[in-house]
Amino acid sequence: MTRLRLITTWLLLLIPTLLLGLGALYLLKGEETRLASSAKAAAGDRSTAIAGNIDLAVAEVKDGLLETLRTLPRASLAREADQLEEWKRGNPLVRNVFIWETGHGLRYPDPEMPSSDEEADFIRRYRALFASQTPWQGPPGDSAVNNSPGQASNILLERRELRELAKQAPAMADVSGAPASDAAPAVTNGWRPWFADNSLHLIGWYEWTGRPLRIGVEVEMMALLSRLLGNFPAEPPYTETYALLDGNGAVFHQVGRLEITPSSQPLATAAIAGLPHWRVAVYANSTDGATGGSFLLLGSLLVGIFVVAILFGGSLLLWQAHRNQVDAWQKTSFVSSVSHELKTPLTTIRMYAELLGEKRIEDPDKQRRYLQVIIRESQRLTRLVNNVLDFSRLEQGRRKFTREEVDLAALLHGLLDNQLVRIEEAGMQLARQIEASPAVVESDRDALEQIVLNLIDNAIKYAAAGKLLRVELQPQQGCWLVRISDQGPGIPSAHRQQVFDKFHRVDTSLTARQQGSGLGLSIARQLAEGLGGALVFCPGSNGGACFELTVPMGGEA
Amino acid sequence: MQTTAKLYTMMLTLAVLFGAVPAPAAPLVGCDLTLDRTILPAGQAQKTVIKINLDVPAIPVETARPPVNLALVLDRSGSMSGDKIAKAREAAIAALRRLGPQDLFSLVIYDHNVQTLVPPQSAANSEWIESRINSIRTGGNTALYGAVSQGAAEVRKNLYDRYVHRVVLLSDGLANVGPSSPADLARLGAALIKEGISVSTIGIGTDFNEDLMTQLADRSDGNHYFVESSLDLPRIFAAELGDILSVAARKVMIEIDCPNGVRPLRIIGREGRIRGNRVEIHLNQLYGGQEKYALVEVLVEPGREDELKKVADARCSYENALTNAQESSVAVAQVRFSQRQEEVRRSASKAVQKAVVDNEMAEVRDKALDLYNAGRKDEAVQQLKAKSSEISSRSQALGFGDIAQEAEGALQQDADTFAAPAPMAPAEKKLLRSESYKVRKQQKEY
Repeated sequence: MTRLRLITTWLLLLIPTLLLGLGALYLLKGEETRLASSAKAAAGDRSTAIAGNIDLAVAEVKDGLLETLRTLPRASLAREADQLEEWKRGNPLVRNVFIWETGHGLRYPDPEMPSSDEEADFIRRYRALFASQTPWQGPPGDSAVNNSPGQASNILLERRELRELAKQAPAMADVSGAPASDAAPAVTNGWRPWFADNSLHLIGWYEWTGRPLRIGVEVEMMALLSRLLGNFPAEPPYTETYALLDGNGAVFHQVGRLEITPSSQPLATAAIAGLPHWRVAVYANSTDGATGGSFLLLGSLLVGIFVVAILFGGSLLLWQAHRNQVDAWQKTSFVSSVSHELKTPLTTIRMYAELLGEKRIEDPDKQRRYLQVIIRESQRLTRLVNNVLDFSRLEQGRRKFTREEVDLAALLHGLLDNQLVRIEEAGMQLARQIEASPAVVESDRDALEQIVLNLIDNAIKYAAAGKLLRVELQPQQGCWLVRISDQGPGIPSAHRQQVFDKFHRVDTSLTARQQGSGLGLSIARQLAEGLGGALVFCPGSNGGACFELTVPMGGEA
Repeated sequence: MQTTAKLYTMMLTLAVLFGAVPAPAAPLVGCDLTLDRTILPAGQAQKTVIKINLDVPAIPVETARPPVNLALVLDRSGSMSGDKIAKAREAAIAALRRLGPQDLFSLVIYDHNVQTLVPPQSAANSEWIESRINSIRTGGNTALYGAVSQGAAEVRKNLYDRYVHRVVLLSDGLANVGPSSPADLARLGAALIKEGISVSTIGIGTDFNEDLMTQLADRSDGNHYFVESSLDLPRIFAAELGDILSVAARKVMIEIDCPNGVRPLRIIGREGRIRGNRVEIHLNQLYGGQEKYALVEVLVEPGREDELKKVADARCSYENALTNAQESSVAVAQVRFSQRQEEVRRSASKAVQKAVVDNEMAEVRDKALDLYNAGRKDEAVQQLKAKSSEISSRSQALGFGDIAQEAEGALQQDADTFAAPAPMAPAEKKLLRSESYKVRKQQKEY
């Protein structure tokens, strides 16, 4: 019944705790997902910002180059070619320059006589364009390459719009008060991304209306890209790696410690409008999401620790309560047993004393017998009280042993002689097998006596039906062995473990056939251990109980 | 008759020498033109080679040399671990110690990630810089392009001051992050030279891409070094520093104008442009005490007997690095036509022919190696053999049998190496590239 209650209580503790833990884990998981998604969003913002910066830089370069083309003084073809050439020689961002005439094709550099391998390459690269096999692309200005739908994000578009706005102002001022030469010729210009030799090239041109010439420039992509790398943060956050991916998706440049492999999945990417198909990508340095899984791991660990702590603490309290309950119950039963035990000899003493007091007993034999009963009962009372006192001393660790040289054989003989009457009264035969030689040990005489007495008491109480009490004394390795055995009913195997526990009795009911406090064996063992020896139970071969007491020869060995 | 001939010879010798020098003070860089033959056979179109010598005197020690803006770009990828990085650190520190307080030093290290370890600062701050250098550890891939870009960016921070700008790149592996083709890096070099930044490349071990390293150095007019053992690194750094610290002229432009009747055909060895009758060759710097030259082959139209003909006007303009003044020197080359074979042969210059042969050999070796790398082994051998016989017959015709023999022997040896059934050792390729680079750029022996 109590066990069931115990289990129920424990389950009541366990289930809510586990539910609490699971709930916490669920919330943690949610938080982790939220963190990951917000990290992803932040990564997206960062990649967009970098892409925006790169895009602006590209646009700036394009504008600058076109501006130079625009301000180039117009002259004869050869003069202009010279100027362009001069420009190319000085400007790291200019890879090649050209003059193209509608209907004629390339005028400069001379397609028949390229001045260097690079020029020959240039002519070959743009053959289709210069031969008008591919369109020069319609819409003028930057918007030509900005048309790719869905690639540029809102932020980027906004920035671009702002920039356009900023650019507009001086242009309008120009129109109002500038000399006619600046504003007069309407122009067409444009940029064309060009894919050749498995890489991206940019070519821009300027054309004045009324003049069939297109003056153009090819951007030195390697120099431009080299400059663009500065748009990446020099010291990226420890957890992230930024990369510029080229049109083939290969890493062009990266900052951050991650070794990017083709299988690496970016957290976010942002397209660069000015460099078609190029992207800025942000990677997490660890593979498990933005927080690296450490948040979840740490959280779970904490939750686990809490759950275990709650369960452990709760179980400890439950166990303590259970033990207290058992103790209280044992003590109650002890008090009632002891009272009962005390009451019996007292009643006997009082009854015989009253009989003697009334002087109705004339027979001196009877009188002597009655007196003997009184003495015996008071002796029993003394033993009982001694036991209780010893028990409390032992419990509190206050029992002092006074060691002296004791002849164990003599002690046993004396004791058995004293108890012979009781034994015989109980209808038992005493068989002594005690070595004749003196068995001297250094030990506490009283304690030894009490141990043996308690064992004999138990035998008289419970094993009188066995008719035989055997007491043996044998020398052992460094100690003496006292074996007290009977042929009674023995101890049921279920109780063998607990017979030495205090307050333990095989039959705990108040109406038990034999009275007792449940202290005898417990005290005996504690005393034996206190003397440096041991007291063990070994079931006898013929069903009776057998206790073996070892007493070290040199006292506490 | 004899006296007239002698007179002519004397006149010619004078004629080929300097033209007028307009500047009040003599320019620092001497420019002079030499021809492989000063007398050409009359009556037929002739190819001749003009050698433009740029002669820079050694800068006296007491002269204040121009300050240096040096960015060291060190590979710290996993393959550099062990002795290589230790020697590289040692060499970097030795290089740093040779710089003075007026010089700027910056250090970029890279694996797959590029990091500026030392931002540009005076080299006088050497204790701190050395502690930074000693903190370099290895690991990772090779982001060569990003590293050079970053090195250039560090140099660029002080671009408008009068420094000698230089990026020194050290790598032992293939560029495997970012652009990795020699052409891409060559374009980067071509852009950097326009800003006056030269990139010197040091390839260490046998795993780097020699084409990429030589082309990057070539286009930006830096030096290229091939170091097989890391033990040689300190020596290489010292050689490079020696060059950097002796820069005497910057932004050197050689312009050669040919009059009508003379058509430039090609530039031998160096990169340059031929536009119509004009040849342009750009060098980023000239070092004190070193002679550099360029070779231009021209086609001269048939001339009459005894006719004197100007074949080239050369102008070398540059920025004097010691005074920061813009200077230039000019020279003129003339030829005379003669019917007499003997006279023509006697006028041949062995020095010019030697230079031509060396450069042509370097060129053909490079080309053959390109073919070989592209898997066209037979063509490579053929190229070598064809060139060998061409050089041989030309040198023989000029009467330089020894040059012919030497070239033939060397090229035959190369042809054998290329034709061998076993694949060419990487070290051999690297040696070939770096040797021909040295010849084409007249890089000092290291």
